[in-house]
Amino acid sequence: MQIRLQFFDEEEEILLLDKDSPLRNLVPLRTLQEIRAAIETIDVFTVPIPSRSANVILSSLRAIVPTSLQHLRRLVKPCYIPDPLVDFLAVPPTPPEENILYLLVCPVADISEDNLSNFLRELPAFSTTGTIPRIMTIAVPSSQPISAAQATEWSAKYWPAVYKRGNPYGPHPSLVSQTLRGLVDPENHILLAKRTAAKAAFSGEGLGFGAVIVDPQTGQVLAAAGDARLRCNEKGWSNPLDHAAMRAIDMVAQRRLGRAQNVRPDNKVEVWDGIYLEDEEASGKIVTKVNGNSNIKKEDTDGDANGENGKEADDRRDDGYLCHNLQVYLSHEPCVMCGMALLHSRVGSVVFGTRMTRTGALNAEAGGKQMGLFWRPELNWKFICWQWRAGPGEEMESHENVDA
Amino acid sequence: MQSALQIATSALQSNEVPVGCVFVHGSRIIASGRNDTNRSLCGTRHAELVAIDKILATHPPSIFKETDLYVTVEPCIMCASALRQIGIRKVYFGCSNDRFGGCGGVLRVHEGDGMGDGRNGGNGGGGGGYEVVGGIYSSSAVVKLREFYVQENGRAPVATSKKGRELKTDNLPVDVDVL
Repeated sequence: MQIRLQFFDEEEEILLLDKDSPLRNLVPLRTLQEIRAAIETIDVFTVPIPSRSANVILSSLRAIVPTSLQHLRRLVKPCYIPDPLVDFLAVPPTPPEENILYLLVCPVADISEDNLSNFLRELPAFSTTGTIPRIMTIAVPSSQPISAAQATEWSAKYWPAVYKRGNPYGPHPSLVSQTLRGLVDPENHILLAKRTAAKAAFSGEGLGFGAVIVDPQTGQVLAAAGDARLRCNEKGWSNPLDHAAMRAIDMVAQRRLGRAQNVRPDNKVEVWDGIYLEDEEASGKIVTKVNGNSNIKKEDTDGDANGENGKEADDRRDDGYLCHNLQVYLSHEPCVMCGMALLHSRVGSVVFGTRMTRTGALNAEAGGKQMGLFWRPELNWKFICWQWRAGPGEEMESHENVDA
Repeated sequence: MQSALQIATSALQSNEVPVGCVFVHGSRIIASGRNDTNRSLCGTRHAELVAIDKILATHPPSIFKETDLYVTVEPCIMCASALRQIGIRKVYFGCSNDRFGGCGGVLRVHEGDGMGDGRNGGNGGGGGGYEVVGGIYSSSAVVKLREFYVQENGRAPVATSKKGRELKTDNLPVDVDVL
């Protein structure tokens, strides 16, 4: 029988970041399945067995219980039993007891304790002495770990675990690293989203939410939109659904559609006006410049959708499909409508600032809606999502009961 | 619902996903909408949102609390949330949407606290929920969708070819690990 000895040597593609890297502010969101997988445990039987009989016992065991829990070590030396279990299992001190191995038998659902006793009693290893080892029940993680780090954590807490490369519950770690590396200037773009949010609030046309969409191919800002749910039309009322992310998505479409047609004939869409970012100062302060037009025109409230200067046509790329693989920066976690709109638009990655615990659709952690909309197996698109950790004094007003 | 189905048919003729809807206020249709995502190059231009734009051009948002929606396909998660935020009274739909339905197909955005899968906690999600009634002329709605999906989506990016890949069954890890 081939016995594989391995420790946590699987290389994992983890992006090593400098201590001062702004990317350190990006906290990847865990998917709903990852969170559930991390907390679900299952009761299993374990018994100490003589190591010299291990192979015989395993072959006999295979005949009576199905093989499962392949993410956990089947046989564990006493010295690797996690600290919280040492007393419970009455693990003998090492050395001299190197001839003992702990066998993870199977989930308790797979065999009754009586049947397991009978099975052990008939094994050659115990039939001569007539005494069988104590059968103990412990709780172990029921799903496989999603990273080497998690395997290490579980090994110290529950039972030695194996990380097999890959992640069935969310994006593969290397995909997350790769997407993170592909983010174009996230520090400035999240700042632009926040500034756009502040501008929307200041104008009185919307709440303090902002959205920015960036093309990773060119690094260009395709759209920057503030919330506009308070902006009144000529009739004197507003559209409660004019959220920042929806408007930014519309702007990208309007840019691609050109001036001949309107994305929303009944609610004119402004086009990002060509303000771009220039990282002039070491402080990372955003400098805005206007592309060929002297007055900064953000909002096109008079309904003339496509702007007068015609500049938007210069860099329009017609080969895009919706917002396929574009990068989105939001001042706040989006509501369900906006979250699904981003999904429908096939965006590649989303970075948001403030978490919206009562209305946010992306976060799957406890203490919120736990929707985890960015990565759900039943939906036909998924994207990678980060929260930008605000530095001291950088927090935005949260409006926590409002759909952002 | 018959009107909504007619509108869905017109969407099909315009090479759009055939979903149609009408908003009814006091037994009068105040707006209709059909999917407009392909023309507008915008993935959020669903029938419901198109019609909501039309209504808001002439009516204040308060009208929705006395308005019912008839739509051929269950509203998606985005629209289900939009309808909730705008305060729709009731939604009647044809076939359910198990790909991204927000009124029971995948999530249940319309009901409870809008948490999506029946959990409790907080009243976020834009006001109260709304009542939904599904299954009205659902087979007609499904057939329309099938008529569309037998066509190709010429705008979608070319899918990665998986030809030549095979399922590998050798070199599986042995299940004995000694630590």
